[in-house]
Amino acid sequence: MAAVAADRDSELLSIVVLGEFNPAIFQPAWFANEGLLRPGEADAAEVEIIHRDVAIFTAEWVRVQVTHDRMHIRTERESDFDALRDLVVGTLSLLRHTPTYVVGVNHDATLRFRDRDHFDDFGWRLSPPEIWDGALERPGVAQLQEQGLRPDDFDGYVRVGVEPILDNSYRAVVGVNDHYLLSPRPAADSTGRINDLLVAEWKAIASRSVQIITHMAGLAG
Amino acid sequence: MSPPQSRPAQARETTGLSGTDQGTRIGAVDAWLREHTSDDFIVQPVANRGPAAPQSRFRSLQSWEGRVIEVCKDSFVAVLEDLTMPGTEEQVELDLGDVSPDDGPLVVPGAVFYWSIGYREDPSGARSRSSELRFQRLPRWSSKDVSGIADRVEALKARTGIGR
Amino acid sequence: MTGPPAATEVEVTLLGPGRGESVVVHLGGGEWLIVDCCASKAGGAAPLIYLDGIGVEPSSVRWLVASHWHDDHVRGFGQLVERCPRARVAQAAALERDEFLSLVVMADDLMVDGPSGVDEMRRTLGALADSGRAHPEFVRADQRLDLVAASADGPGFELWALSPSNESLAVALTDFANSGAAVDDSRRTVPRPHRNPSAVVLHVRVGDVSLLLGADLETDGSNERGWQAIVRSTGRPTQPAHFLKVPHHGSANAHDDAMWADLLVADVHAGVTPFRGGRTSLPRESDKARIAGRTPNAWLTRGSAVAGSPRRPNAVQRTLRETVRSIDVISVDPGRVTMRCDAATPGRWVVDAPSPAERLTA
Repeated sequence: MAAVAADRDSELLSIVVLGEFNPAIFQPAWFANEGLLRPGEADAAEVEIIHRDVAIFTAEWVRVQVTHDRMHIRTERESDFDALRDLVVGTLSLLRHTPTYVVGVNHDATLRFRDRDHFDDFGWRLSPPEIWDGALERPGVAQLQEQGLRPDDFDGYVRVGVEPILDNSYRAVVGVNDHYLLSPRPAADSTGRINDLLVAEWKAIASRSVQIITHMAGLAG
Repeated sequence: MSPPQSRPAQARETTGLSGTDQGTRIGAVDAWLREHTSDDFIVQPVANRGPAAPQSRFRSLQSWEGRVIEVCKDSFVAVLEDLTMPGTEEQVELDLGDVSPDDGPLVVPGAVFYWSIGYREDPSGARSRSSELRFQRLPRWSSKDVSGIADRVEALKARTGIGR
Repeated sequence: MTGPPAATEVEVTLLGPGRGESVVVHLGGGEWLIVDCCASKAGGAAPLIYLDGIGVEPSSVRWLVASHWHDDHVRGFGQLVERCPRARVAQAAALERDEFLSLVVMADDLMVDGPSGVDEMRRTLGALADSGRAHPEFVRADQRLDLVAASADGPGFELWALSPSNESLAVALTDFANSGAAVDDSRRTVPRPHRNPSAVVLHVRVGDVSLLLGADLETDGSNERGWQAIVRSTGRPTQPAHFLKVPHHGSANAHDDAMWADLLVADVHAGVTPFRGGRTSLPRESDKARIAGRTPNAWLTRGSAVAGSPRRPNAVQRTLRETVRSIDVISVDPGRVTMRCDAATPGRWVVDAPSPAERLTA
């Protein structure tokens, strides 16, 4: 059996919700009081800023960033991907009257290629160098984004990004953005629908991003 | 994937959501902080030292979603759904001592938890075999939730014809 | 037994994997009854898989009965309702009351994606409403659900509910109300009552053959509830049964001497399903001995309700050895016991009980 050309080095999951938020309430203590974070995690959270315009803190396993128009919650621990979903769902259920309109689930995987040849081969499969003849010298993928239709009845898209990490470690980040548009502008009734979606579609979202990342990793031959 | 010129590696956050907004970056927040006085802050920020320390990472080898079916004196029994090899259900008995003290009150019949076995990597790069168990946290029922139940029961009865 | 029973034959098939059970009954004339549901190892509804295996279409199912709402007895029940378009649905009268419907509505709010009895009931109600079918029949003790006279098509049958009694219904409603009120203030769960006060016991007569399907009904010493209420009833069918689905996996608290003496023929044929949940494994050895002492014709659908855990990476295996007290695979295919006899010659059962089913011996 041929050796795998690329291994998954690390993974990151984030959920981003666009809407109209009040960053000042997104304090670790609030999450703990509502039972959404462990009290110990909230107590030990590293707060960068809590302000009416922006809130950023990091608890043991999760990083929360909120501005007026965006809530961005992420984790780099695979074991906590489902807990991340619960945190977002729990937060939105408490803020059910907050107008929202978009939710995106982002799954990033850092692929580590076996060697320089596989690393280069991956980039050349994505963008054959010969198509740049006469335009660029020694072309290489710096960043690539490809977008496809949603495979379900929701509005939005599925977007895949590839970006090499330029530190001679033969690594590249493959990111899957599962983007759902619930309404054209922020609306209070979108928030409940976002929660319903995150619960009902979670397994499909997870398997889709894994399938895409696995497909991309296989391109290195 | 030979780059045209070398560039230092940089942390990036992917959002990929809006065509106009490229996401929340640490640099943008630094600039914002410089423009605002400390009187505006609800919580005084930690000294502005740039990006937060990276979180520890966990590389999962095996994951389950569990549901508690029985709580005993010093253990609990749960049914596990295998998330790594779907299609297998197992019953497990675990020590209550393995549950984080903060999660203790959550261990009741019907409670859901996530359990992973794999390798934990600290920011320093140290790696160790680890078992991570976290109970699902959902918000409490609100008085509004509870008061809305009667209306929803009536709606269910109207939809199904029960009691009509 | 590779094909369906003859039109004049009674068949009762008991499916039991260790979590849940299902009873599949041929009522004669190609009409079928399914009581409760359990899952196959692959997750499908086991009774439908069985019927498909003997060449019976889901459209032949006339009745679907949920004997009670606990997870393990109704897993896949919603799928049965969706796939059996002709079937009428019956469940205990307690389940039409607001106290239970509140739990159904609350289950909608749980933000969890997993099997639960209340979810199956919600799916059942939704499937019936969406397809324009009548809501379930909500049954109580001494209620006849169906009567078909003998004809050229078949031997005819009668279907009766022997429970729940009025007193049992009152207890069930109290349990439901307590479940709803006991919502923990730090999380959203629907607590699972331990008792089975609203279980639906069925008496089925096909031609001259009678069956007693005991659900999970227990006995608690009261004359107004449980088996005593059934034994003492003057409104129930009086023909003793030739087959017994042993109640509550053969547990001692579901045993009633008067039930065995008054409701069953001597040397009745009996079927038991195992149960493995928490630290409880049923039937215990003492239960098996007790049942075998009552009749030499008792079968258990599966001797062992568990299988060994799958092979996993060494690091996982090591951690499991260090961490868990016990771990067993419980998603196993149901064991099966099938009995057939001519509807005109009660008691002459032909038994098909392939491994892992086993006969109980004294």
